[in-house]
Amino acid sequence: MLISRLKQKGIVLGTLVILTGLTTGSAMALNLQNNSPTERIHIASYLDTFTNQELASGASLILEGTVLEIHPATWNTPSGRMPKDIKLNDIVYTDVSIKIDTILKGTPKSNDIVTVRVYKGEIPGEFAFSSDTEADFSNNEKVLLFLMEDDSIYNKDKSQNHYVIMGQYQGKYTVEQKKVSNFKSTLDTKSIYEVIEKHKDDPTPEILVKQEGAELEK
Amino acid sequence: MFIGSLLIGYSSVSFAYNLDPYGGHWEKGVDYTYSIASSISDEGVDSIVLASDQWDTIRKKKFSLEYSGDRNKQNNPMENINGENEVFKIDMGTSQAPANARWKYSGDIITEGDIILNSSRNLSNSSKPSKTAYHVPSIMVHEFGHIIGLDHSDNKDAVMYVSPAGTVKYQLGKDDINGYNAIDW
Repeated sequence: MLISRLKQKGIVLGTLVILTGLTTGSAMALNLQNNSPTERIHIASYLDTFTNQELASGASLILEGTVLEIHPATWNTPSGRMPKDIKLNDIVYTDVSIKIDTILKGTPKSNDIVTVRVYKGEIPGEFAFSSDTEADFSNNEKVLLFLMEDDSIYNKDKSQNHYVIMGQYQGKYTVEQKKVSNFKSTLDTKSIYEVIEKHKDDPTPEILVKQEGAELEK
Repeated sequence: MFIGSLLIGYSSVSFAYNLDPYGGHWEKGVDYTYSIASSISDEGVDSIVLASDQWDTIRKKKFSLEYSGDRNKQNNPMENINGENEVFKIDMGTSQAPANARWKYSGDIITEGDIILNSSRNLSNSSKPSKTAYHVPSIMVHEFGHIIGLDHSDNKDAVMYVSPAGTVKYQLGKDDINGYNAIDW
């Protein structure tokens, strides 16, 4: 009788263990399949609105190129890992390698490939920084880029090995069949090349030049 | 065709607003209380409060924005994700935007919203800013709109439309109010 009860309990326990294992396994499998980030910060920026003339004068490097590789997103911490406390200058970024086809202004840091950094990205299963104004890229995409040095607080070690896009999405055009297009407009390649050539040596746009007496504080 | 044109016109006017891209909203009954960095002048505080007050003028409002009056809370000005709603002013760099709002989600619930004014730009409290300066009440009412749960609008009359430097526009437009009323609180 006792043995029979123990056997029954054993069967029940065994079944529970198997069921728990199966459930946990399924949950783990689901978790592995669902790589969406567990936490998210979204950034919405009030951008400077630049004309193409201003992009041409303000950018230090203008080029036409092809997207070679979109690198995995990473934290801008020394370890590349998520910090314990997220501060204002902590963010996730994504580097994009661009093969240079034509240089329209400036001298790139490398002759054939430049790195463009966008401050957004998702680390699967961990964290995401999203932005409605940073540009998106796709592999093999032909692009026209207005680039500048990264003087942002996110570039903690003041690294010079990459560029950022002037005016975020405004400074990136997709090139297709003699047309360039972005969120704002579609133009003939020839006409934007003429604007670049005409204005690339103009002074820096005034909104980027800080003036005395126009600050928040008196 | 006439009805079609009317519908297109109606949709472009009435639905120019956009809601939070991830469907985020604050928990029902929770109000937004914020502190302001001690690095911001008294004039700047007045501009910021003027901006948040605009969203409180909405009839049948479902959400309140309130300045806590706290200027000393931020011992570490770089502290960000700490459960507090804060307005900062720091030098973000020339390559960064004049202002941004950042908010954190827990599921689709927004749990914290901070705003950063970029001191690398010309920021003005004057009602007649120069064409190269950003009018603080105008950019702040826009940033508070993000915190509430609105994205950029395509309607040029809306405060949620991104206007060039020198623009003074801090009173809510019809499109802003329509967007506010469309948020799933």
